[in-house]
Amino acid sequence: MTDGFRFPVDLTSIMLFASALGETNRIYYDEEYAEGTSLGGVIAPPTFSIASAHWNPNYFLRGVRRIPGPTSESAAAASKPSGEEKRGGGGGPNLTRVLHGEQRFEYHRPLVPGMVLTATTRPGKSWEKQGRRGGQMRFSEVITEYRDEAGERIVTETSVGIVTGQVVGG
Amino acid sequence: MSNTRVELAVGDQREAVVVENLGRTQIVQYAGASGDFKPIHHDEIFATQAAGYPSIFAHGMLTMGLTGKLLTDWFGDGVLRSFGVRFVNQVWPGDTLTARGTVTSIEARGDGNLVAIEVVTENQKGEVVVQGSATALLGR
Repeated sequence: MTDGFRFPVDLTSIMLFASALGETNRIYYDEEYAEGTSLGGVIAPPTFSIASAHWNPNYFLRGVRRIPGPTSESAAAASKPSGEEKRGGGGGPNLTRVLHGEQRFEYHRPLVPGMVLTATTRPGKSWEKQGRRGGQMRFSEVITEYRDEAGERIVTETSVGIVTGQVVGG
Repeated sequence: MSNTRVELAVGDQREAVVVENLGRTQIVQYAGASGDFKPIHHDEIFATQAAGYPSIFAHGMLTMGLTGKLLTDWFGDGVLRSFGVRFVNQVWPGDTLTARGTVTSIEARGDGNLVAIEVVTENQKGEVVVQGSATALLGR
């Protein structure tokens, strides 16, 4: 649970995100074109709010801090050649066993440059399941709600994370 | 694209190749843009030696974003009301992904037609990588 963190939305971040998706749709970066459409300006692609991770003070995927658990020694050793430094601090999930199971977005209004959103997260349901490929799997939902400066809901995300008992796939 | 008026009926389908021969560079680009720096998506040594995967693999959210292109190219910009997927199989460097959407219902409302779509994205072997649904509100 967070009290809420700021997520300022800007044109460059939207363009970079759209570009990473291989988008050629000008609504995501061409202001002149976008102003001539019924939307009246650039908007963000449907999954863009996920990039609020850059602003989330509690985000555990912003670079590797520590890989606890049974694989920690090999992980730390293996990561050295790539220049990953093992940093201090504890906690956090074992990143070799964390998977993204599901993602849902509920849209109220498109994200546009200049919006300053406040994101609040809360835990949703959690459950366990014996997986065919992943061993014992623990599922947990995190719900993130984004509101604009007037307090209006803009988008709501539900993310289901899975911690697996073993490597899945390949 | 945002001004497109779409004539639709239940059962309508659309299919599109949303990425061809997915490159590691695009996966890294997505890591930077999204802020998801989980090493399993960019650090080959971590992915293979520490985690035991055959190689790095794409963020599920990259596949979802690519799948979203099918919907926005079809229905227009800024019209989605919901979009959700389950990540079924991993997407690996070199994969070519085809997304397919099917209109499952159209509900007339005061503010337009709420169109429900089922969506599935498959790799070049025909394996489902993501599966889900979306709704779009279209003007009449």
